[in-house]
Parts: sequence; structure tokens; C-alpha cells
Amino acid sequence: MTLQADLLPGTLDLLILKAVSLGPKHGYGVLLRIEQISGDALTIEQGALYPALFRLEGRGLLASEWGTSENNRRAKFYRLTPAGRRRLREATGEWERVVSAMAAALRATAKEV
Amino acid sequence: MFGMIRIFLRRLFRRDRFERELTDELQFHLEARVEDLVGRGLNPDEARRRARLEFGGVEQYKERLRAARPGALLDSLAQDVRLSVRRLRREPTFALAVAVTLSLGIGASTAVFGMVSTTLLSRIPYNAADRLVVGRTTRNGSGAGFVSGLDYFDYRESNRSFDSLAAFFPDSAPYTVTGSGEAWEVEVSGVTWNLLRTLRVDPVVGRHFRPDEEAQPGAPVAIISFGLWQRRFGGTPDVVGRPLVLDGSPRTIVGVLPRGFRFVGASGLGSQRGAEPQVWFVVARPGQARHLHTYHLVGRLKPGITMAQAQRDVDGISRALERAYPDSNKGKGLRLVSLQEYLGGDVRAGLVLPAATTACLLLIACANVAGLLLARGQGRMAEVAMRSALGASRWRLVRQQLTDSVVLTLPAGALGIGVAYALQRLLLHLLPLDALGVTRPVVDDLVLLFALVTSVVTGLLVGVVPAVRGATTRLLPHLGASRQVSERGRSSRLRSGLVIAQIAISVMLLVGFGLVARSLVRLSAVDLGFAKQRLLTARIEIPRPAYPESVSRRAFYSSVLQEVRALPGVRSAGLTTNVPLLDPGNIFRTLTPDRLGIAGQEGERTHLRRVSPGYFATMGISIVRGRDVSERDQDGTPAVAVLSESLARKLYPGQDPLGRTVLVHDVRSRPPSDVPYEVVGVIRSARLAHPRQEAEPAMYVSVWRDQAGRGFPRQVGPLSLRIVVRTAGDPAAAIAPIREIVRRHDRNVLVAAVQTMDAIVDDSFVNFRRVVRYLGLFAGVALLLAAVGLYGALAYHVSQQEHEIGVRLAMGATRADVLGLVLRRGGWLLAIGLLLGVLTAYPGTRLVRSLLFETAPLDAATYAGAVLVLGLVATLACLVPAVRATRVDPAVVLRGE
Repeated sequence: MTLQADLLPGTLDLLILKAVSLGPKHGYGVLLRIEQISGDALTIEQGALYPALFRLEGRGLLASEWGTSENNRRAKFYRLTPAGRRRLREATGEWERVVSAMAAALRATAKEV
Repeated sequence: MFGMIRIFLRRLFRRDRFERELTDELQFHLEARVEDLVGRGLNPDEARRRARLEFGGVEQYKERLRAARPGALLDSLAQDVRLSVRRLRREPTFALAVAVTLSLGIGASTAVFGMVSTTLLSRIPYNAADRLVVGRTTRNGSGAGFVSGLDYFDYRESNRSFDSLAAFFPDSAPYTVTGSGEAWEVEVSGVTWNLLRTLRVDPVVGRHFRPDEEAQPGAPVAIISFGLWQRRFGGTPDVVGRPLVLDGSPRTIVGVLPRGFRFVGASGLGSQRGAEPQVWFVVARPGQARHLHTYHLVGRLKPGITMAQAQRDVDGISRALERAYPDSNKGKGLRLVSLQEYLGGDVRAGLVLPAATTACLLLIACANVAGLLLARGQGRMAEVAMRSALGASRWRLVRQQLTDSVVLTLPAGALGIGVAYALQRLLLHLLPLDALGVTRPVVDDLVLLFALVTSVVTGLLVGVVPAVRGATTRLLPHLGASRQVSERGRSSRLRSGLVIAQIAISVMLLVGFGLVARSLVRLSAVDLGFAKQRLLTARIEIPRPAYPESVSRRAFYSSVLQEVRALPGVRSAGLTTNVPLLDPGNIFRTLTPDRLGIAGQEGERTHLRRVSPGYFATMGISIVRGRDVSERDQDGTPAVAVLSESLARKLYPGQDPLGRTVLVHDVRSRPPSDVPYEVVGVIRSARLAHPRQEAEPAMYVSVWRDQAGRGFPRQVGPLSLRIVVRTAGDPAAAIAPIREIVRRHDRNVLVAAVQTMDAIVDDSFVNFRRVVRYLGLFAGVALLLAAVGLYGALAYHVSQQEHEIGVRLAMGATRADVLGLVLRRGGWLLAIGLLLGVLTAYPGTRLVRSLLFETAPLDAATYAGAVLVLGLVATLACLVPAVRATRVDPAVVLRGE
């Protein structure tokens, strides 16, 4: 089963930052890479992708420049800015804390209460 | 803020690149997806279809992306602005009409704001002026008069609320300076020793006055203005200690005030007076006479003392004075007013009229523009319906409308600043603004800000009506319609309402102008009681030390008068203490012996003037009964008087006053006495104070006779007299010979204030005439605007009805029918507007009622005139579109279907 990547608030932004942190990517490339690194478990609605990219760029977490794609076309490439890298680190930490807290909470049994 | 503006401007002009990149990026995405799908085995057509399906509507998507950009709001605003500008370029006439109309309105209000801001909002030119208060005498709690000198000293010494309480003399004639070449004149101000300290103005050279210099008699010291120091003393520091001979008595200069110190102009303390004083001296402490009110009080409150506390403090002193001096102080009090309020009060009154008319003008301009926008909005209904169908939100459409109008009004505001500058130059000629301290056009930051805010607010205001209307109209019917959606219903009524309002406001302004203009005409023709043509006046002042005895003074004046009478071209000449309309003079009480001592008989208010024989003949004042004062009425003969008819009627109603006695109540003598005069003549009454005021009761006595030992007339043998000269030809030709005669007698005698009576009468109308011109100007502009509004409304109506007119013509209607059709519509608007205008004009005349002279606020001719003028102009404005309607070619219109 595949999940929508923006199931929880902030997850889409986090995924995009992660995908771009692995090397500059154009929009479609970001889409593919997220599917790839999540082992095809997460899909991104195409409609949500570009608004998120624009928003992150607007917040200075991403920078963009025009370059040439794998198949020699003009494409807009996004890369992480230092602020983006910082944000990715923080967001990853937060995410992990939330996940472990959630996991602990969900594992709880009657005895432990 | 500036960052926002920069982003906004970049978005406004560099938008194409963003759009291009947006398209390219999405295009790349789709192509990459297609390739991907093809790579997974779909055929290219199927892949393209699928990719597009997955992605959804590209245009809506772009809209979402635009919204996701930083500053998206600015972006769509920029889009609105661009759209508005593009539309305006398609309708240059419309844009021009709006810009001109609004720039007139905004310009006018900005001009007036500039004037108001410099006078009302300007800082009073003294340190910590908010702690300064002014004190005026009240009688039984009301009124606001000058303060008695003795009372002042009691207030100064007994109060606990003031750091210092000072006084100055609100009125004093210029002094003559002698001892350095030819005599010259200076404006002076008598002050208490602490006045300049109270204002916290320190001399730049020399020192302040000292308390001991206020003794009785006062020390002969003077402080001079910076200007006088530069002009007369070359700005040298050794001016301190130099003598200054004022009216014959020498004074020593002890200090110089700083440059730019203002006492009269620019909201200075003495702003009700004429000229800026150049010499200041300490007045001696008054000896007696608590009922003489000549002081003007100004004080600086102690820190922490409120106005209310200070008022309670002086109220206590007032009550103590009432108890101590019941004769003079019964019911007398002192009212404190903050200097700010005191100065603002005068100014506000002077600015109500300009402000009110300007507001009217701006209203008319707004109405015009709103009308034009409404008309345009109607024409664009189909476009609005289309945009709405394409997904534009209501809010977005309203915003677009508002942007439209602001885009129009901002440039109009810029233009308005130019208009404001020109108008201010005009206003300076038209209004007595120099008296309020405004001497040149004012366009400063505050004024520019005002113009900007007015423009934006006006834009939003005039935009709101059409915008809200557009947004709440059911748009569906307009979608299928061709461009000729005819105007009907609410929009039509609203537009008609605007036109009617414009007409009504114009009527109001025209009526106001008409009433005031008519008053001016009446006033110019009023019988003054004397003949003002070819009449010259001049003031001749002699220095006291050179003429210590009244005999020598009289000899001087008599000799000069004889020689002037002998000049060729001089018909007659006379002397007087007070020239009508020029010297208000003092008011005395006169009564008849049988009324003396009767309670409640205070006597008649009487102007007392001293004249030489021949004065009446020279002035053209006819002697009704008895005789003129004569050369024989000198010291040692019985005191005689000539009464004006009005006074004679009051004192001896229905009786012959000749040979009877008139008593002049003299408050200055101790104790107050009643001085008897025998009536020897009666003259026609003349207007003395102002042409508007009825001829006041007056009594004339001989200038050759002393009233020695008595309070009246104060001078024993005059030191200053006015000569009046009736000439055969141009009165100006007599000026040089008269000066020559005086110079030959004594070069230390001053000849000043040489004026023709024509000029004096003219001067008394000057403010009146300014108001007339001002109202005329604004009424004219309002008329023009109303005509434009009416024209616009009808022209638009005709263009909307073109189709209907074409059909009518095709069905056999004549051109005259069509003409009548359009004219009738205009006629209705006009009729209702005129009616409303006439109804509202009457309450509106309240503003000018104080100016009216022998003209009723309901003067029928004025109202008829205003209606007629407006009717004519409006008919012309209607005729143009009406005639155009008759030229509609039915063939062309119907082919357009």
C-alpha cells in the first residue's frame, strides 16, 4: 500500500528537503526520488509538489537555477541552501522524536499505566 | 515597508520572466512524465493524455503557484494595476476627464490643508508654549476684554500658579524717532519687565529688562528687534547704551532680541495687531484708575499646575478685588485661556469658509468620478461576468474595481499637488492669509502626505460604490448579452442621484457667491456721509520736547494748514484727530443735564473728535443746522460742540439742540466729572468705523481749544493730527508740496500714512472683496464640474440608448422627438437638482450671513440668478449629447445587431 506523503503536516516539506539534500534535482526528479528513497511506499500528489517547492524557495530553504536535464532539456534545478540544510537537520530530529514518542505511546499496555 | 514596495515594483514590471519560467517548468515536468510513461511501455499519445490527466488543469495550477510565491498578494495587486493601466490606455478621454476632475478637487483641498496646517498646526514660536496662558477680563462671567493695569498687578503679586505673569499693550500707535537725520517711524510695544522672560526669549546682545525699571515713572530703556539693529545700527555690538529718541523722549538701548523672534506674525502672541514691533520698552506701573482696561495678560504656569487650578487661583483673587473695590470691580473676573486655544480660535474662524467650500468642491469632484466609473462599470458588465465565470472571486473583482479607481486617483493626486500650488498662490491674493502668518504657498511633507492620503481615500471611496454594485449584480444575464446592455435600475438611479447632488451643491455655492457679491455692490454704493473723491489725508506728528506748550503746537499746525490751503490745486483743507474709517477713536458717554444723576441713565455712546474749522466742508459733510467750529472757539471762550444728527436725535429728540448743553462723562478725572459743552451746530451723520456700520453718534469740538486739567481730550494741544485736503485734480499731486511745507517748518516733524480717502474706503472692503472673489472662483469651478457631470451622464445615457434611438428613428420618430427625449431626461435631473439646491442653500448661507449687507439671506433675485445661470450652463451641457443622439444613423445601429 502506498501512502500520501503529505499525510501529516510538514512531512511533504521534510521529504522534499531530504530528496534535494541528496543532490540538486528538478521538480519531476524530486518526485521520483521521494518515491525511490521511500521504497515506493510514499507517493506525492503532483499538484502538491510545485506549490511546496515554491514555498520552500520563498522561505530561503531552497535555491533554484536553470540547467540541463539528463535528456538534455532545459530544466529548473533545486538545491539546498545552508538554511535548508539546518532546517532539514532540525526537522529530522523533531520527526524522530515524534516517531519514537508515538511508538512508545502505541506500545503501552494496561500494566504500564 | 520599502522592501515591500521594491518587491511590488519588481513584480509590476518583471512579471513576464516569472510567467515564462513557470510555463517552462511545468512544461518540462509534463514532458518528463510523458517520457517516463513511454519508458514504461505506453504509446506516446496515451502517455500524453495520462500525464495531463494526472496533472489536472494547468492554468488553475499556475494560479496556485502564483499564490504560493512570497509576496503573492503584492503580485496579484500588481496584476490588477497592470490590468487597470491597460484599460485606461484604451480610454484616454475617460482617464483624462477623471484626472482633471479629481486633480481639481484634490488640489483644492490640499491647498486649503496647506494653509490650515501652517496656521493651526504650526508651532507657536515660543519655548514650551503649551504652558502659556492668556488672561481676559470677564463681566458677570461673560465677555473677554483687556485687563485693568491695577488689577494686573494684584493678580501678578497674589497668584500662586504662575512662574511669571506678564502683560503688554495690545494697541499702540507708531512712534516717531528723531535725532538721526530725517524723522522716521517705528512700531513699538509697551510691556511689563517680565514679558520677554515669560515667553522665554533672551536678548542676543545686552540684557533683559529689570524689575526696578518698572517703577513709576519707568526707566527710559528699550530693547530693539534684530531687524532694526541690522538696519539702523549696522549690527554692531556696541548698540547697547546708544540713545533712541522716541516721540521726543530719549531712551537707552539695553538689548537686542534674537533674529526671527515674532510677536505678531506667524501665530505670535499679538497676532490681532497690525505690525511687528521693532522697539520694546517697559511701561511704568499705573497710578490709579482701576476702571481703565488696557493690559493684555500672558502668563507661564508653574510646573504641575493645571489650567483648572490656575483658574481657581485667579478666581479667588478676583473675588478679593470685588470686595476691596466694589465701584470698579463688581462682577469682574479673569478668564484664563491656553495660548494655543486663544490663537487657534481666531484662525479657525477665518478658515471655516475656505474649508467648507473646498469640501463641497471635493465632493462634487468625487461625485463626478464616481459617476464616470459607474458608467464605465456598466459598459464592462459583460467582461466582469466573463471573469467571474473563469473563476475570479467576488473579492478579487471588487479589488480590481478599487484598483481601477486608485490607479486613476493617484496620478490625479500628483497633478493635484501642482493644482494646489497654483491655487495657494491664488488664495494668497484672495484671502487675508498673511494676517494668519501664511505668506507663501506651502507644499511640505505634511501637505504631500495629505495629497497622497486624499488621493487613495478618494479612490477607494469613489471605487466602492461601483465595485460593490458590480459584485452584487447577478452576472449571468450579462454573459450572453452583446455589448449593448442598457442601463437601468439601481445603477441608473445612483448615477442620477450623483448628478442631482452636484447640481444642488453648485446652486448652494452660486447662491452664497451671489449674496456676498450683491452685498459688496450695495456696500460700495452706500452713502458714507462724506465725499471720498479727490480727498487726501496724512498724519503730521510733532516731537513733544520741541513744542512743550500747546500754544506753539497750535501755531505750528495753524501755519501748516494755512500754507496747504494756499497751494494751487487745493480746494480746501482741515485738521482732525480722527479720520473716518481710519481712526476708530475712543467712545465716550454723553448726556443732557436733566438726565444727570438719574440711575440707569448712563448716557449715549459717542465718538469724540477734535476738528479744525473747515474740516466738515473739506470732507463734504454738510452742516444741517447752526455753524461749524470757528477760529474764535479758543481757550477762554465757552466750550462749544457740533453734534451729528444721530446724536442730536438721541439727546434731544424732537427738539432743537442749538444752544442746549451736552455733558461729556469723563472717567479719567478724579473723581469722574461731567464736562459741559454748548451745542452750536448739527451736521449730517457720517460712517466712522466701517462702511458696514450705521453712522454712529459723534460729537466734534474745536482742535484749537484746550481742555486743560481735564481728562478729555487727553492731549493738551495736539502732538499728532490728520490733515484732510480736498483737491481739484489728482490728490496724489498734492503729496510732495505738503511734505515740502512741513519740512520747511521743521525737519523733525513726521508726515506719515499719506493716503487718499478712496484708498481708505477701498481698504475697508479688501477682505470682503477677497471673500467674494474666493467664493466666485469656487462657485465657477463647481458650476463647471456640475456641467461636466451632467454632460457625462447624458452622453453615457445616449450611447447606451443608441440602439433604442435607432429603432425609434427607423419606426418613424422625428429628430425633434429624439432631441426631446434626451433633453427631457436631462431636464428632470436639472429640475430636481435645482430644487434641492435652493432648499439647502438657505441653511448654507449661515456661513456668509455675517458678511451680508442690506441683502436678505433669502434674496429672491440672487436665488433666481443662481438658478438661471446653472440652468443655462446645464442646458448647454445637455444639448451636446442630445444633438448627437439625433445624428444616430438607424441603418448603422440596426446593422450592428
